[in-house]
Amino acid sequence: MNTEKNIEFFDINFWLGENYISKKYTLFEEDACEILLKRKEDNKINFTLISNFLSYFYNPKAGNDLTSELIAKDEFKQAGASGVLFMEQDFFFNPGGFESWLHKRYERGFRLLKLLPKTHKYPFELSLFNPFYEILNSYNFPVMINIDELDITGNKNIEWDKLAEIADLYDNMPIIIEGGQSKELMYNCYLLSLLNNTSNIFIETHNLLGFNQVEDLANFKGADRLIFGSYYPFFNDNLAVSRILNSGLDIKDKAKIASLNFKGIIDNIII
Amino acid sequence: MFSGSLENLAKEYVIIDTHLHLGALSYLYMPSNNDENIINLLKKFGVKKAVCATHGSLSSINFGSDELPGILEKYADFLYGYFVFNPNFEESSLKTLENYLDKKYIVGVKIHPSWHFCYPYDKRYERFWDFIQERQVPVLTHSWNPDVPNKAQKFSDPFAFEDIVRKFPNLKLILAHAGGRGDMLYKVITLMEKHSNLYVDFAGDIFVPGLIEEYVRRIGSKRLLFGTDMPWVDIRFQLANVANLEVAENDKRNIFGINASKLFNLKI
Repeated sequence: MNTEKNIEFFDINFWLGENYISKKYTLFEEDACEILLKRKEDNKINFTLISNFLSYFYNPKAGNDLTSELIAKDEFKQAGASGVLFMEQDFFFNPGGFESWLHKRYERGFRLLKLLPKTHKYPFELSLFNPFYEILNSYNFPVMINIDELDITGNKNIEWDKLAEIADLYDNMPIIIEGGQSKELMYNCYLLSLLNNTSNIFIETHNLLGFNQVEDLANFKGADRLIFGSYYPFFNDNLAVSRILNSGLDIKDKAKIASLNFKGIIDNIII
Repeated sequence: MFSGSLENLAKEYVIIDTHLHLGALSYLYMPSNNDENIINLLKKFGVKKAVCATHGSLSSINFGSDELPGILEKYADFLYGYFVFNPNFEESSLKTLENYLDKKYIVGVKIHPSWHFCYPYDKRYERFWDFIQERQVPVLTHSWNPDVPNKAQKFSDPFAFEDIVRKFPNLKLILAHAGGRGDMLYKVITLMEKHSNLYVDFAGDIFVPGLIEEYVRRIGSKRLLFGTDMPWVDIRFQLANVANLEVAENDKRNIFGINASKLFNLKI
């Protein structure tokens, strides 16, 4: 690893499936491998975690099942694909099944749990989600949350403090936050305090759009706390990759952000 | 696809940033945000000229007009300015504007109807538009989709400018951010098809795949400008965005800087 051309990327924020609101943001399963392979060739995005619109819009379980089928296929394996789990609401009715479900899904190639408390209407707070956090924490299993999902009122009152509490109590559970399409990761000091007061909160990079923000965060608490994501197809993966490669960081830090940090997280899962 | 170092772009293109901001702003904390760092980053990536409006001049006509000359003189021949007109202080703002327009480093005027909570067709803007028509100076205005949670954006609806550009055909009006969000980004194309005195920039977080290509296809590239919105958005995203457009090289040249050099009469 001595030139930037050798830096490979692990994209943890890639959406696949039918986005019923917009054809432009739809990527049908049959076209996905071609896109993934092109991204490998163009940008060395050699690994990708797949989030499925079916989980988001229709049913988390159906989406998880479909993703499971896809990533089991040889062509998806060759394209470097693994899966993002979406919390299934059945476990609020039957919490006892969560642990074996996590085992099975992990064996099928899922490496991240995405929480959608606002969109799918379930709690993420410490007091109500704690049985699941306990298990995730015991396995060092990472969770990801879009900052919009913490804006329960819709008035940009992000519940940053609750995130800090969760991170503090379950400090083996990596928590990755991403900005989606919002600007809330960009122009505030909450993010700095959050990184300063926790050790297991990580920031996905695609919309760290502010001037020198990637460098400033890396210099603040280390490049170890940043993880690459493209937010494809909403965001152009060329831009996401280019921003890391053209950052003012040294090559080791670029490589960490591009893939090594997340590889470290999944290597640390104990199941 | 452009995959090289962004620093190499300047070898192929003249790059002019027509939309950036300098100076502090109360709620915008960025550790690296100071004039020198911003200018250095622009120069590192080969930007030849830049046109800025200071945050101070959006928030205060007195402080802003005091602050602006020092900044522009410090970076003379690289940095140029928009003088901000504030309709809430119509009389004094116009008077100051009149004084500043003779300075060679002021190449345009900026208005921000959402910031100042005043529609562009409001009576408080009337004398401004007459004055601008007479002086023939380009105007950069914030523009945004009114159908967003931030209610102040209604003041900058691109269609609120339609009667103005019709009434003042010699006015050169730049709709910053090309309408900002959602379907407005495409409605602006229709507006530009009707009015040849409208320009746009894609400053800010306007990274919709295929959008700029659609502008080029429908209205050509000669009224499209490169703007970063620094420090709100890092120039590296904007450079990669234009470099990766699927348009002819000539169109990229126009967007990166040729159009701006003509519009603002900047020698390159």
